Amino acid sequence: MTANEVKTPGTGTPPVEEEERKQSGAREFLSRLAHNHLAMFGGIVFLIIIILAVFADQIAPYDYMTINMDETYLRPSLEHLFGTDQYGRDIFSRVLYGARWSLLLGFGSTIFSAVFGIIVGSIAGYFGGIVDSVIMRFIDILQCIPGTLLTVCIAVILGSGMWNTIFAMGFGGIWGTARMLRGQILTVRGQEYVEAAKATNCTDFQIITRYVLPNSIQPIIVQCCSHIGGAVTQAAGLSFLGLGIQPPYPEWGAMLNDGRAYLRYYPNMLLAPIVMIALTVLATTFFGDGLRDAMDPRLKE
Amino acid sequence: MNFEHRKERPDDGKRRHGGPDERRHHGHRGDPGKQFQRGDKLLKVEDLSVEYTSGKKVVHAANHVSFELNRGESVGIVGESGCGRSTVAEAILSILPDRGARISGGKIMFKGEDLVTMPEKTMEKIRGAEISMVFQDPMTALNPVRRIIDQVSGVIRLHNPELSKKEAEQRGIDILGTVGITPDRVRDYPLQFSGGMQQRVVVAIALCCNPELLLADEPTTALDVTIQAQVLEMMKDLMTQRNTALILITHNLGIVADTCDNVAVSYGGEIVEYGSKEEIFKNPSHPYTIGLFGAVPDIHSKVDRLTPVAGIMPEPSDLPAGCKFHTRCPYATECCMSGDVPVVSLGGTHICQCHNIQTVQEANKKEATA
Amino acid sequence: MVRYVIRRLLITIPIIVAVAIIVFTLMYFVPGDPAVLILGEAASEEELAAMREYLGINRPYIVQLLDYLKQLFIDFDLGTSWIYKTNITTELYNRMPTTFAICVYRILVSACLGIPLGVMAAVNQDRWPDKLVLWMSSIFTCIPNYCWALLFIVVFALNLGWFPIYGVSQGWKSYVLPCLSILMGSFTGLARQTRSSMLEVIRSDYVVSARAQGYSRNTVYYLHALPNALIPIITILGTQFAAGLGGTLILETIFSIPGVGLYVTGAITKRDYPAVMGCVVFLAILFCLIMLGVDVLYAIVDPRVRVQYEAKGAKRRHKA
Repeated sequence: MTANEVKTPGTGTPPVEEEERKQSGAREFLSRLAHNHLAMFGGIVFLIIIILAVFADQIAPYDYMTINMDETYLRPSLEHLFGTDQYGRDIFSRVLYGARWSLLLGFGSTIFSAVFGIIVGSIAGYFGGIVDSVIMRFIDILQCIPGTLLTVCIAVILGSGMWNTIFAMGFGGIWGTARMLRGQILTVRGQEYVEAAKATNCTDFQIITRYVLPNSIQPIIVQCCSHIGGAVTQAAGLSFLGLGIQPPYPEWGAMLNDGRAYLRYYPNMLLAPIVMIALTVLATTFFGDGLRDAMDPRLKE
Repeated sequence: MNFEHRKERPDDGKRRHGGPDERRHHGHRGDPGKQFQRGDKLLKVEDLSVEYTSGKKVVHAANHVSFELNRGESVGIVGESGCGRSTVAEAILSILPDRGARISGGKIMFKGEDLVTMPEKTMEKIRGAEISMVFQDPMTALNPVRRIIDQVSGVIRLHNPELSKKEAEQRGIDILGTVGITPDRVRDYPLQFSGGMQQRVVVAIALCCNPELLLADEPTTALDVTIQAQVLEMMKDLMTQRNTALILITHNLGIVADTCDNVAVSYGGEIVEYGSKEEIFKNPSHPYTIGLFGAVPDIHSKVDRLTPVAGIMPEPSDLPAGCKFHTRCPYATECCMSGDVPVVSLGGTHICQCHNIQTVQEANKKEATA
Repeated sequence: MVRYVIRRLLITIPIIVAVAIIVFTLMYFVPGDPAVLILGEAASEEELAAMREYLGINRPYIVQLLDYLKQLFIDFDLGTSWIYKTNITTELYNRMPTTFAICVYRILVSACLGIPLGVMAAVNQDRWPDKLVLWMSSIFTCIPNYCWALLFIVVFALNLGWFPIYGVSQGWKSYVLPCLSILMGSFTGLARQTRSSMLEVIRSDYVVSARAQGYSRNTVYYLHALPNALIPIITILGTQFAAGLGGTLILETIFSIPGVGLYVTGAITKRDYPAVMGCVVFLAILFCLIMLGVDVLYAIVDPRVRVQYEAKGAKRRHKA
C-alpha cells in the first residue's frame, strides 16, 4: 500500500490531497493572480527579460566580446541603442548577454538556497528535539555575522566564477528559508493527516515529501519568487566589487564596475545596466507580491 | 420621544406622538442642582440614513432613523448585531469609519445644533466632553501602551486646558475612585486589570467630563454576568447623579428593562417599534419584537426550548424590498413584500411599523391566553 | 528587566565564541598558503618556513584555535593584521566613528522621513498619498544602493559639483551622498512597514475610542496609534542599523570612505585572515548588542512586552 492510497475519513485527509479542492483552489488562485494588474505586469516584464536573455544570440545586433577600437565611447544612436564602451563594444548587446549571467546567478542562488533551506528546515521542523535545537542554534549563530560580509568572505575563499558565486550567495540564503519552513512545519506536524500517515507505516521521507511539505511549502515558494530580484542585485554587487563574474563577461554588476571609471564623461555606460537591474527587481517584486496575495488573500495589506 | 418614519408627512398628526409636554417626569431621579432639568430636549435624530460603500456594494446601515432624547432620559436600542445600531452611535459622534461611510441624509440636532454639518474642530470639543461613548469590549477600548491614569487625565486636560497636569491627575484619581479603582492601581496598564475593572475605567473616562449624553454600545456584553450587573449598577448611579442621558445599544432585553425609560427595536437599519419600556414589554406589537421576547428565558413559565427568531438576519448589503422583516416574519403577506410600511400608533408613545398589526396583536393575545 | 538584560548578555558569550570558531575554521581551511601570499611567489623555502613559524600557522589546527580564542576572550585582543602589521582593535577603533556616523545619520533621516510617510499613507489608505508612498517605495527600493550612489555621483558631484566624489575630508558634505544612497531604499522600506503596522492599529477600538474622547485626528494618529505600531518599526530600524554598522561594503568602496566596510573589503581581497576574523567577531558582538538594544526598546515602548519578559524570568526562576 502506498501512502497515496490511504484514505482516512474526516480530518485525516490532507488538505492538498483532495483532488477537487485542489483544482478549484488552483483555478481561484490563477484568477486572483490574473486580476492583479501589477502582478501580471511584473510577470510579463520578467518574462520578457528572460526571453531576451535566452535568445540573446538572435536578438543582439553585435557580439558582446568583439573589440572595435574605431567606435569607442559612442553616444546612444540607432545603430548602438545604448552607445558603445571603451573598447567599442555595443552596450545594448552586452546588456542582453549580461541578462544571462545575472539571471543565472539570481535563479541559481535562489534555487540553491531554497533546496538546501527546504532540506534543513524539514529536518529541523519534522524531527524536532535535539536535531532541531542544534540546527536552530547554528542558524542563530550564523545570523550574527553580517550577511554581505559572509557572502563576500565565501566568494573570496572560493574564487570567482559562476558556480562559486552561486554557492557563496546561496549559502547565506539557506538559513532564512530553513527557519521559515521550520515554523510552517511546526504548525503542520501535529495535524491528524500526518498522524494518520504515521499510523500507516509511511517512512519519514514519504511523510515529509507527500504530506508535510505540500502543506507547508507555499510561503517558501512565494518568498523565493520575490527573492530572485534581491539575488540579482546581490550578484551584481559582488561582481561590482570584482568578485563574482569577472570581465570581460558582461554581467550587469561587472559592467557597472567597468563603466565606473568613465562616469564623468560617459554616464550612459552605467545607465543601461542600472535600468536592467531596476526593472528585474521591480518585476520580481510585483510578481512575488501578487503571488503572495493570490495564495492567501488574507495576507494582503 | 418622537418617532418618525420616512416619507411620512409631518402634518399627518396621527403618526406624531409625544413632544416635551407629554413627557413623563421622573423628578425623583433628576438632580435639582443641575442647570437643566430632566425633560428638556437634548438630542433629536431626524430621518438619519448612513450608508457604507465597499467596492460597488452599498450597505444601508441605518435607514431613516428618527428619535428624540431628553435630558437625563435613557433609550435602549435593541436588536441583533449587524442591524446598524452601532452605526447610529458612530454617526451621532461623527466617528464613522473614514473610508466608505457617509451620512446620506437626515439631521442630528444636539442642543439645537446639527452635528452632521458641524465643523470637525467644534465636534472635537463636543466629543468626550458633552457626548461620550462606552465601547463594547473593554479589552480593546483602552490603549494598551498608556497608563490608566494618563488615559483618564489626558481626556480631562483635553477638555479643561486650564487645569495643570497635577490637578488633572488628581481629578482622574478621584473619578477612578468613584468607579472603584483604588489610587494604588491607577499607574497600572490596562492589561494588568480584569475585564470588569477595565470597563470601569472606560466608564470613568466616558464620564470624567460630565457629559450630557452617553452612548453605550453593548457596554456589558464582553463581561461576566455577575460583573455585568455591578458595572451596570455603577453606570446607572453615576448617570443619575450627573443627570446624563443615555443611549444604550444592546441585544439584552433584561438590561433594557433594568436601565431604560424607552425602547427602540431596530431591524435592518430601521426602528420597527418604539415606545416606553412599559408599553413595549406589556404589549410587544411588531412580529420581530415578539420574536425577541420569545427568545428570552422566563423564570415563571416552563418551556423546554426557547423559540429563536426564525431565519437569519439578511446581509445589510442585500436588504429585501418592502418590510425588511418579511423574509422571517410568520405573519408576512403579499403587501409586505414591496412598498413602504405604515407606522401605526398604538396609543401613548407606542408606535410600530407593520402592515398586519391587527393580525399580529390578535394572534399574540390568543397565545398569551392559551 | 535588568535580570533579562543580564541573562541576554550571558547568552551572547557562547554565541560569540561559536562565531569565532566558525570563522577561524573557515579561514583555516582556505586553500593557499598565507606565507606565499605575504611574501610573494618569489620567496625562498626558508623564508616561507620562517614566516609560517612567525605567523604560528605551522601548528596543529586545535592549538591555533585555542590560541586564537585565548587571545580573543582572555586578552581581549582581536589580533594583528598580517598585511598592515597593525593592531586590528586599534584599526577598528579608528574606523568605527566614520561608519557609525553614516549609520546614525541614515537611521535618523530614515526614521524622520519613513515614519511620517508611513502614517500618512496609512491614514489615507487607497487615496493618493497612500498610492504615492507605495509607488515611491516600489521604485526606490528596486534600485540597489550602489546604483543610486553612481547616479548621485554623476548628478550631484560631477555635474552640479555640490558634494565631493569621495573621501570624508569635507565635513558633513562628504556624508551626504553616501547617506542618501542607502537612504533611498531604507526610508521607503520603513514607510511601507510603518504603513502596514499602522493599518492594523488604526482599526482597533482604542483608536476610535480616542477619537470619541475628543482628540484631534493627528493627536490620535501620532500619540495614540503610532506607539502601538512601533514594534515592527523598531525591528526594521534595528536591522537597518545593524546592517549599516557592518559598513555597506560596496558604498564605502565607491566613495572611498575609510570605514569598517572598506577595511574588511581590503582585508578579504588581500586574504588578511586575522583582520577578516577580527572584523567578523567584532561585528557579531555589535550585532548581538544591537539586537539586545532592540529587545530592550520593545519593552520600553510596549508594556505588554515588559510583562512578557518579566513572566519569562519568573517562569525560569520558578523552574529552577
